[in-house]
Amino acid sequence: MTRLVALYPRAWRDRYEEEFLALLADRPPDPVGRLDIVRGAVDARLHPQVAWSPDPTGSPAPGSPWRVRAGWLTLLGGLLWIVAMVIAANGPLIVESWGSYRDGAAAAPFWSVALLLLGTGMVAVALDQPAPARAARAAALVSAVVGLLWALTPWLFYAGLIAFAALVVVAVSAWRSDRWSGLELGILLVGVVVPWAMMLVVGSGLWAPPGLGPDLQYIVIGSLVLVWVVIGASLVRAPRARPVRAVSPRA
Amino acid sequence: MSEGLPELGRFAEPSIYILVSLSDGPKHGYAIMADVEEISGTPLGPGTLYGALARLERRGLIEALAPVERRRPYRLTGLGATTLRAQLDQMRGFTRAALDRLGETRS
Repeated sequence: MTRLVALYPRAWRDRYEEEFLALLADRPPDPVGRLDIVRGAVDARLHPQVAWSPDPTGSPAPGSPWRVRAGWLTLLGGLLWIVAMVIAANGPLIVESWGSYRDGAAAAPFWSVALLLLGTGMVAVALDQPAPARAARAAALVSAVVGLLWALTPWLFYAGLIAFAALVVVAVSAWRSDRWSGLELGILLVGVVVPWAMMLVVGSGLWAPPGLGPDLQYIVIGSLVLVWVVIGASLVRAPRARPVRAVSPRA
Repeated sequence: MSEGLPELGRFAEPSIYILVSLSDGPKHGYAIMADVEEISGTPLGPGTLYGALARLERRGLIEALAPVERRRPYRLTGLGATTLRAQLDQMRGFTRAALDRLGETRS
């Protein structure tokens, strides 16, 4: 029974878990009642009526297991991203009439899984924000879908750009809801904006930094790893202490 | 402060039952469930009960008392009583109008 109750958000459990378990002990639910509990948990997550309050002792609450797991998966994704870039940077040199590049096909599996794991972390960051967080959740959905597209079709440059831009929306929302510190947001912005700005400028042919060869291209793309690191670390660490906040009284 | 109960969506009807149940004195969750089942003839699921209790408590229509062992009783507040009375008056007016019309149709 406690497994069903664990579906409820932490703030709800802090407030109601004890008496709720007593009720369930007095009147064990039938299958319909169990379904009603699951439905209640979904409602409590979508329409929270109880605000989370920090531990009065001031110690931060431990991260929930799913949050921490998503964080470690994201960090693993960052490692795979680096592996993908190392493999790609050592791929066969292809010389074309317009220039040369390294064939990074061998890195595709690592690249795809890394992006998939980044999507996992980003969705976790979005879900960790107080409801409704519609912008963050919509952005996470867009980024996850478009990111998956980019994982399978790396040549669709703008798919990657859209995926990372949506990720910035999730991060700004996390910062606005006090889930993220200003430092974390700053690192993410640098990690997204600098590599993408360089790729856009170079890709447009407006300017090429001196010495930018086929190997350095992968170093620029590889620097996106900061994004995996900051998202993963933000999920693995204990949640930031935050004040009790008003929750919309709407159902 | 009173926002009415219809805005509680699917919790509106269970909320009225709960307010009615608490109108004759404080009760804890299990007692409310049993009472509501007796009043309405329909069992109230535990998830629905606590979804409604949380909403009513948040709106100040009920308040929690000190727990007795693990069971926490709830009681109706003044605002809760006023809101319940308004709801019941509205329902009475609606019922009367509906019965009048039904009578007119039949006659």
